[in-house]
Parts: sequence; structure tokens; C-alpha cells
Amino acid sequence: MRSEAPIHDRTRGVLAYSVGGVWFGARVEEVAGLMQAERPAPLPHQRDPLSGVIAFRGTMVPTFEIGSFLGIEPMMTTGPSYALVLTRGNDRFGVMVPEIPRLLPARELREAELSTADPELAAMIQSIFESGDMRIHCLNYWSIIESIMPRARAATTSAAGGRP
Amino acid sequence: MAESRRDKSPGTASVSPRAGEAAPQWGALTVAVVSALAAGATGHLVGGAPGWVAVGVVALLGGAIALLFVKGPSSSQNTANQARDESDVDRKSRGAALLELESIRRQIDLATTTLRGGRDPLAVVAELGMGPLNGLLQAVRDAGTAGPVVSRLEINEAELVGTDGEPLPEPWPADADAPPAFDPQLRADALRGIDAMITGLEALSRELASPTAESSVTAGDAGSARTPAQLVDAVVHTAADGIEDLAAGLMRANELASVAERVTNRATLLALNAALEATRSGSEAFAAIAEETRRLAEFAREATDTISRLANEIEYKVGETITAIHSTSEDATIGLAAISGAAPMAAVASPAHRESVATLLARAREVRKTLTATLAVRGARKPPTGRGGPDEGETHPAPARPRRSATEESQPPSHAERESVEEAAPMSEVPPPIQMASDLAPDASAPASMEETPTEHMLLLERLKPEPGLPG
Repeated sequence: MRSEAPIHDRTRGVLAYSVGGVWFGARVEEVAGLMQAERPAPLPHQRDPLSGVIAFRGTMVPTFEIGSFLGIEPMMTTGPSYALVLTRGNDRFGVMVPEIPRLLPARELREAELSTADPELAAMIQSIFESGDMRIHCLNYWSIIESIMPRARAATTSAAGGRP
Repeated sequence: MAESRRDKSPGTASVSPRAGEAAPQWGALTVAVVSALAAGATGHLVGGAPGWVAVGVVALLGGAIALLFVKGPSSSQNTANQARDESDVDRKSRGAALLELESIRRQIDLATTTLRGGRDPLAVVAELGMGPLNGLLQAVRDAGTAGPVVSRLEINEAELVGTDGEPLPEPWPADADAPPAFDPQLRADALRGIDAMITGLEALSRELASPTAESSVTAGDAGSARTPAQLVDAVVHTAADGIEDLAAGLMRANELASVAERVTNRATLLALNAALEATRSGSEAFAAIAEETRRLAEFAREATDTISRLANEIEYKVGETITAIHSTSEDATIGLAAISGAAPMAAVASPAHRESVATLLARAREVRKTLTATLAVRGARKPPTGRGGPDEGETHPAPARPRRSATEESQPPSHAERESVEEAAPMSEVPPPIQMASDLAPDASAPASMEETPTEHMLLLERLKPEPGLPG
């Protein structure tokens, strides 16, 4: 399903990165920043795909491995890792990517039909953009992070006005 | 103990015959007493001068009878006793001689063992200083402390012949000192074998020496002669050292390239973050700054890529160069080995090989000289018997040689000494002993190679083999 609105109204650009030969992306409106994260601090009892927490501009941000979550083995296991920090309101989390993402402005992008997406990834894909030969899958990162780290009951009840 | 029992048994057997001698002695005593009594009675009965005459006659008769009692009845027995006594004396003297011989044999064993151990027997074994070998060992000690004892004794013989001007007395029997090893035919075989060995060693030393000299002159380094293989090795080592230095510098360059890459990554992240903020804020100024930052990051990226590419290319070329050097070294080694098959072996011979050949040649010449001098001395002691083969002339008397100290013995003989030896030996082609590398130069006066069979070689080697354990 292709949106009828022009792309520059929906996004000003996409940060694209490759995992296992498949291009994924994040809209710049969702991205708080990029940083090099060599060794995220591990959490107690953490399990895959969580990789720990990083410090981003004075804030502790949880991170997860996108390749591990998607079941794609990274092509390069050595070298530095980078954290793509996403934000929504005051919430932030990081996506560990194996390379520095590329910034593709909106003028270089065109939107593709969601029906052409891989059926296994269709549930997690928010939109698909194309730039040249690149086919960039923009994921629904917030649903992914909530599936990994469900909201705490206390936070949920607090948000609901204190009722259990 | 057994000998002591044997010594006692004759003594015990000699007691019984001597006990049998008591009977005649007692008879003679009885006759003497009776004759004395008879003489007294006669003197008492016959008075005057006739009485004295009668006493004398009776006394003489009694003495004669007593004498017959003492000697008469056991003359044959006395002879047997005398023979038995002489046998006892001979047995005792033979036992003493055997004991003395056993002592001498033991002393000889002690002296031989001590000499083979390279020590002075007179100083080590005190018993030898008082024994019959004292004089002989003193002579050996005077002849010198180094070198084989046998050769020292030979030298002393020559000196004795020369100093008193007269040859030593002929041994008895006449051929007692002619051992089979000095059979004329064997002697000729030994000398011919030694000559052949010396000739072969000289040819080998010439072949080893001459091309090395050329290579040293070619290299312009007369002090240190190096073979082509060594030159190739030196070049390879020099190149390998340079390559190792280059590889170390390359590793350092790679480290700097990785640092530049990290800086570039940071710059790229900074440019992306600036672009993200500019995009999010929509500020044109921020966007311009973000664009400049991005260009700077791109420039750093290109420079880093160029450095990394150059470093990889250099590393690849260094690897190729190392491989080529090793391949060239192996080819050179194989080529030199192939050359050595057709050219003189000096192309691949090391100085150790030449030194070994020189040592062998020198020892062979010394053996030949010693053998020739020894034969000459023996020939001087014993005139030719007419059995001599082709080297009968070697039996001329050896000229007098001055005594040489132990230090001088280890030095090569002087020209006069060599001449004296050459005069003693009829073979005038005896070459001087080689002690220095310069003596390895080709000898034009070297005798031509003589034909001989491998059996003669083996016989010669067996004969020239030194006795194990002897010093020197």
C-alpha cells in the first residue's frame, strides 16, 4: 500500500544501513543521533537481542542488536559498532548496527509498495523506500522494542491513574 | 703360599740323609779313642825311643782307620747329596729369577699404562724409580715429554749413532731386530702408498685453493675469501634485513592508517548528527554547517582510503619481494650446485674443507718423513742383506741430528733438518711439511701420481693407524 502524500511531507530523509545484505532504514524524524558504541554495558539477566545500555548525551539508553532480532547473522563481526538512537517523546532506545548509516535525503527516495516486502518481515515493516538499486525497509522500531521490553506493570498502572 | 710350600718340601726331605751320616762319624770317633788308648798302652809297655816310635805308629794307624770311617763308606751317597744340594740351589735361584721376572713384567705393565696415559712413569710410580726399568725410563724422559715414545727412542738411537761415531753393536742373532713390518717389499709398498696419498692430497689442495683465490680477487677483498654461495647468502641477508625494516615501517603506517580511519569515522558521525539536527530543525545555516562537516568527513574518508590502499599495495609488494628473494636464493644455490658438478669443487668448498685437506696433507708428509728417517736409521744399524728391493739405497747410515726439545718437536723442521732427512732418505722428492695455509699453493715439484690398488691403500692405512691411547 503506497501512501498518496509526497515523500517530503512524510519524511525529510532516511538513515539507511545494511545487515546481512538487506537494507534497513529509519526516518530522520525518529532518530535522536548516532554514536560509536564499542562495548555497551551489560544488564543483569539480559538475554538476546538486548546488548546492554549506552550513554547518549547524558542519558542511559537501552540497546538491542537488530541483526540478532531479525535472525540475520552480521557479515562483519569485527570492527566498531554504532548505535542508532531513536526517540519518541522522552523515550529513547538504541539500535546496534554494524556500520555507519547513510543519510539519504527525501529527494533521492521514492516509496515502494508494502506488498512487495518479504512476508516474514512484513509485520515489522512500516514503509519501504527505494534509492537507485537500494531497497530500504523502514521498520516499526517501537513495536519491536515493546516486544523485547514490555512496559513495567508499575509504569502501566502509574500511567493509568494509580488504579491496579 | 704354594711356592712357599714347594720351597719347604725340599728342605724337609733333606733331613733324613743327613741323619744317616751320624753312624760313620761315631765310628771314626770310636776308632780315634781306641787308637789313642792303644798308643798310650804301647808307650807304657815300650820304653825309650822305640816306645815313642811305637806310639806314633799306633796313633797314625788309628787316625788312618778313623779317616776311613769318615770317608770310605759313603762316597756315592755324598755325591748324591751334593747333587741334591745343587738342585736345591738351582731351584731356589730359578724361583728367585721367576720372582724377579714377574716383578719386571709388572713394572713394564705399570710403565706402559702410565705412558699410554700421557704421564711420566718415574714421577707417578715410585717403584719404577728403583727398578730395572729406571735407566730406560730416564732415557725416555730425557728424549722429551711430548710425542710418541717409540719415535723418541728412534731419535735417541740416531743420536747415539751420530755422537760416538760408531754404529751400535750388532744384535744377536743378526736378524733379531728385523720385524716383518720392515720387509723390503712391504716397506716399498708403504712408501709408495704414502707418496700416492700425498700426491692426491696435493692435487686436491690445488683444486681447492686456486679458484678461491680468483674469487677473492674478483670480490676485491683479499683478506676474506668468500665463495659465490656465501656472497649470495650475504646479498639475501642484506635484502632480508632491508625488507624487515620496511615491514616494520609498514606496520607503523598501518597503525597510523587505523588511527586516521577512527578519526574519519568520528567525523562522519559528527557530520551525520549535524545533518540530522539540520534536517530536524529545518535551519538553512545549520544545514550549511552540516554540509561542510559532511564534506570534511568525506575528504577524511577519501584520504584514509588512499592511505589504506597504499599501505595494502606496499604490503603486497613487500611480500612479493620476499618471495622473489627466497626464490632467487634457491635458484642461485641450485645453480652453484650445478656449476660445482662441472667446475672445480672449490666453487662450493668452504675454508673448513681446505683446512682439513691441508691438515691431512701435512700429516701424511710427516708420516712419510718419519717412516723414511726410521728406515734410514735401521738401515744404518744393519748393513743390507742383499734382499732389498727397489729401495736398497735407503740403508745408508743416518747423519747425526742435534737433540730437539719438546717445543721444537712440535715445530716444523728447519731447512737444514729437512735436508738431513732427505739425505737420509734416497727419495729426494720428499716435500716439506705444510703448517700454514700459504703452503697449500700448488707444488710443481710434487711427484706424479702412482698407481696402486685399493688393497694397498687399506694395508697402508692399517699400518699407519696410530696405536690408541698413545699421546700425540
